[in-house]
Amino acid sequence: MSLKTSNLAFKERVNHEVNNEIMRKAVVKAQETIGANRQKMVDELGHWEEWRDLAKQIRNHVLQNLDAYLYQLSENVIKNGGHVFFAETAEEATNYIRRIAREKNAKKIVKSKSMVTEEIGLNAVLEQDNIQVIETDLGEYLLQISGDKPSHIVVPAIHKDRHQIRKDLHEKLGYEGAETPEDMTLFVRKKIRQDFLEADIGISGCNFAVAETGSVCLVTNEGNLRLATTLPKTHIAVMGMERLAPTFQEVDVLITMLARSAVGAKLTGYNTWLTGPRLEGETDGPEDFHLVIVDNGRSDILASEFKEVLRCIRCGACLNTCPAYRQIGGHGYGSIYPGPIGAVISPLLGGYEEFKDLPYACSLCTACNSVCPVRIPLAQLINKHREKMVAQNLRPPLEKLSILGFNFANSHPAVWKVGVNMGAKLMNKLIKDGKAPISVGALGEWTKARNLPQSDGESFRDWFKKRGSN
Amino acid sequence: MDFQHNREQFLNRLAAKMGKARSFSPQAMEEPLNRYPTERLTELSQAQLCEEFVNFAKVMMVDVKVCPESDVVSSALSLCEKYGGNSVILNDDERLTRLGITQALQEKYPCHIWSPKTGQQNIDKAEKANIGVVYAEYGLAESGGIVLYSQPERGRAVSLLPEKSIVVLRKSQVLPRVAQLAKVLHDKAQKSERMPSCVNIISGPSSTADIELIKVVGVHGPVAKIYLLIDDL
Repeated sequence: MSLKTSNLAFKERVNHEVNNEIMRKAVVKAQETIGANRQKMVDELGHWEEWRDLAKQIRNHVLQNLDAYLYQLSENVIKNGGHVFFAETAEEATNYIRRIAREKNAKKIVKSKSMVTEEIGLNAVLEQDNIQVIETDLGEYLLQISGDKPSHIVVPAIHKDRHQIRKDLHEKLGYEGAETPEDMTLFVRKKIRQDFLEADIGISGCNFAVAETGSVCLVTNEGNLRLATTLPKTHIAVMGMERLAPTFQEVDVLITMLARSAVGAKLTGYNTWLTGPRLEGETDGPEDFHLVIVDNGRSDILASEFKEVLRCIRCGACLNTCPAYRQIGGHGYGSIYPGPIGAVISPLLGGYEEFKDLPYACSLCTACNSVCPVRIPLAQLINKHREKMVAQNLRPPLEKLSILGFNFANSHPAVWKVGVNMGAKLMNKLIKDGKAPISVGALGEWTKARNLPQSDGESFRDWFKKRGSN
Repeated sequence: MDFQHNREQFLNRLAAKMGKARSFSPQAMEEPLNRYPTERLTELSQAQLCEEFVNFAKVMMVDVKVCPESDVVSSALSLCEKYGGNSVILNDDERLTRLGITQALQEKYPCHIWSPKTGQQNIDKAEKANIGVVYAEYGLAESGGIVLYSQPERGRAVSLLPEKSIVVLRKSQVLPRVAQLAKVLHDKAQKSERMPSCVNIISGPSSTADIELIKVVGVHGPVAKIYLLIDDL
């Protein structure tokens, strides 16, 4: 997989998703449950706005000193006996990891959930060498066996219900047990345990790397990350180059904000801080540790007016509050990064050609701004994309025509007056039971899911004039 | 391409994109905007911290038994009995030996003591053990979690592979939150001491909510987590 998760056109994806009752029910439940848990944890912590200020301050400091911190980090990883590879592109990153896998003669790799490895399409590259790559996060594992794609940054299989999951487990792995999350989870536990014991390499992402010590900090609830970094002889951690903290003290702030924002928990079940390979005399943990630091477009973002988005700590809080995500789910975005954060970073990483529709999958309600733990002004950045697309003449043709028409009417008062008067009368005649007979363009899209308001045939100006004379 | 060349090419290019001269050491961190992370919960007495720790650990589905040091052996035995006894694996931790837990469990159950001398056998034994027993460096009041450092005599797998995990901890070692642990590690780094290869902060048993957001315990790691808390205050 890579950044793009669908070859369908945006409208086709959206049409498909708004009719996916299971997904919509699941996303509503997730937004409400996680949202309520998050709020509880925000209240419990207290001084939330000040914590956000501090998290923003830390992330900005890191971004301003990124070259120096990456240098310091790499020095310390090497000092601890690890290896570091800097990858400018996705291809460089996957080629390096492939080379390590070949050197180790790897047949089986266990992976812990990692967005950046999804972004660079790592699994497909390794599978070309007939290496079995097993996603070990339960949600990712369920998606992998059914050939599906993640629809959420934190809860990747949120769009599936237990019936679908049982069906997949039965068809792909011969599961005959009950349709309960407990039984299905136990089945997967038994199924994967042997894979952990047999795997040659464990691959993980990196929530935060610590420049001062050369450590990588990883958070999970399931324990799969611990297994993937304890049992195989080689551990490869892959990090987006901005995921740094100066010391463990800043990691404290960031994991506090991450757990509370992502799942409404004080802390995730496991926080694993790894420094280099195992030490002399240790029996478990990797003998060989590699850190792959990936740019893949991030330095261009850092040099642009979108650089604030690199503060992101991938908590998914913006998804959990977004009304557009609520309607179209993650698959509607066609990117491994969905929701508001996806609408900002997908076009930056993948280009406007592929993701020009995403900034328009947003009502600019700013709900995402208000929950972001590192204060990324997501709505403003989404709007900035639209401005750039206008400047580059990339806006949708219908929008171009509409704006031209609006500009003309707006600058000619007589036309405006005739337009609104006629429009009010016309709508009064045409709208029946909330629907219009001519359903094209934006009007058509709107009426697919909503009713139009019934006009009484009077324009606002006329109504106001009468009201003023009373 | 060798490492130096690969790194210099990457970082020089990055600095150029950032519109600045390449730097090798970061500017000092600005004064933090506030001190909430380091000051939170520090107004509590040690006893209150422990109460907070126990209460939240229970919320996280941890079974907590508190006892005086004089009862720690009998408590360890009764906890092992409660969780099915059978095969046990322990870290070769002198703190467990000094408390008499290691010897008592060895007499009662088939036990394996994690040792650098027994290599891969450690992992095989941990995988088959019903209970793993470890001694924690710290407890964290805010999250009800415990902190483990890896060492040759203290395997990562002892708290990971067995179905049940018993953690022995002293009340006096309960810290307010991660900030205080981070400070300990930062101070070590400042003195150029090597970090443990693995520091684990563990709050509760392994769990997932990936199917319909329903919390299920024990997806990969231990299905039960038990704290044996020694009252030494």
